[in-house]
Amino acid sequence: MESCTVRSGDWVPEVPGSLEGRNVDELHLSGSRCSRCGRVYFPLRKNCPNCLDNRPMEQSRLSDRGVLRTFVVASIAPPGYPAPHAQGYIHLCDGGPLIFSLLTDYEGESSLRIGCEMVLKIINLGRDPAARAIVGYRFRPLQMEK
Amino acid sequence: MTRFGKHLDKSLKDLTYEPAWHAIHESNVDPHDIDIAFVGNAYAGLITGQESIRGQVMLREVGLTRIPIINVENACASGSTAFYLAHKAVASGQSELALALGVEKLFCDETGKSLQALATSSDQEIEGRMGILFAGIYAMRVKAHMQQYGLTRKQLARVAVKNHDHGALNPHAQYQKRVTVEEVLNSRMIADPITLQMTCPLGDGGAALLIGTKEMALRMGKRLVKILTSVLGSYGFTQENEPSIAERVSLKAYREAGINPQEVQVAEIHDAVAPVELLLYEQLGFCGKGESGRLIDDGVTWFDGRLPVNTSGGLTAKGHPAGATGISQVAEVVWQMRGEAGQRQIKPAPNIGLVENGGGNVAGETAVVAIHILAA
Repeated sequence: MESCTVRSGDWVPEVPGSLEGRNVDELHLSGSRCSRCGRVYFPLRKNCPNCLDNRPMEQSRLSDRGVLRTFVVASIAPPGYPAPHAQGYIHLCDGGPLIFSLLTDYEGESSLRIGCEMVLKIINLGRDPAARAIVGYRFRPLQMEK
Repeated sequence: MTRFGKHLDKSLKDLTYEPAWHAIHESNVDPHDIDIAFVGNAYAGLITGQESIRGQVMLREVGLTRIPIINVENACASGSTAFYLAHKAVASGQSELALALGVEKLFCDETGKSLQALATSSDQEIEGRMGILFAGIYAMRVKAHMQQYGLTRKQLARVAVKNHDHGALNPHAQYQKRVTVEEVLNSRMIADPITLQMTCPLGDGGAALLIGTKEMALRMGKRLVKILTSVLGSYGFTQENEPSIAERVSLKAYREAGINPQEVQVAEIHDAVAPVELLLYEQLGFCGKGESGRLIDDGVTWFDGRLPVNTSGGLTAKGHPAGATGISQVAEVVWQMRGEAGQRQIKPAPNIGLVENGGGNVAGETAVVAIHILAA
């Protein structure tokens, strides 16, 4: 099988191999776990770069929650993205890996803090030429500062 | 090397001609003896449309033809990779005199075009597709380090002050004006904690080096500078408890060169944003974890300190035409060792130097890191 992407029904992921689930309403992050050394990678991949053996990887549903390890709200954004532009690295719960994500639904930079709990948000990014929904992942703070 | 800067009127060929012929004249070699050329360039395809045979085209006006010309692309470490290959070619006996060039035109009339080019140095299917921003990557690293070790904003600013102090003494630097800690902290916030004056500018430039056998080097009639080692490494899904890529590559470099970090007397390292230097001091073993703040506070890394770092002004003040940077870093170390660094000369001239150059970003870390260790 060529692609690691899990496709089902009417959606495709923004990032290949990043999401799993039957339909758009119940998608989760998808990763690969090496049964030999236990390392977990995101997104899906065919092998373990640590072991480099022929063992198949276990597809692993990753936690929707994580801890914000570091982040930045930039006043400039890459072409095609609106400013301010928030990005960060989230350490997923339940033994998950550290992953890169854009951050959303925060009220001002002060509501983000290293160590704060973050939760997955699945977003719709339009449709592809075959009219399938393009779906992306983002993270938002679990609790907003009052 | 050329003066790095915004040169809308200069072509890639112009930026190649000047440093290449300067290197040839300075070294007293017969240019016919150059038997191989490695040309580092990262973004010419996207900025100017010149793809696939950039080196051959850029060397057309220089007049070096018929020899093997290899195009080298490794994002912001393209220049260092060209150097690495030149070293290996000579060390293996394949070449007697190799030209290592780095040239870049990154500045053009549209900043968006330049930023878009830089953005291609991430995985276009994963982080790149999601809009990872390079200024943001470095801001995040610095922020995490501040959280962990208590680095202050003033310490971050002091690195920019140091590099601008050095740039003011370097005729090749893009920025030749000193700044104060207050000016740095009050300049526009780009990505907290990184302010505008902590970042490196978009710019153009070229730099060239000749690497050869000892016999070739003796023709120059100057202090010989020997390459003890040149090491290249790649990202590796590094876990949080493992050494970073820069640390990993440096350990290999020190081992191969047979020196320890305390013996380094001059260093040119990759300050993509000035404060990243502090993390690199620790990763390269110049000080312990969390101690870099003290190094900058004590003035250790100014050109008149115990371990001068980025006497050229670093990427911050010298500029960062991506492909040229790696070569210009080596040039600075060599000039320091030869006593040719003018007003920014380290006294006495250093004998052991280190260059660290990085590029790109994959899976949460720098994609490629090159480290060279030189001795005179």
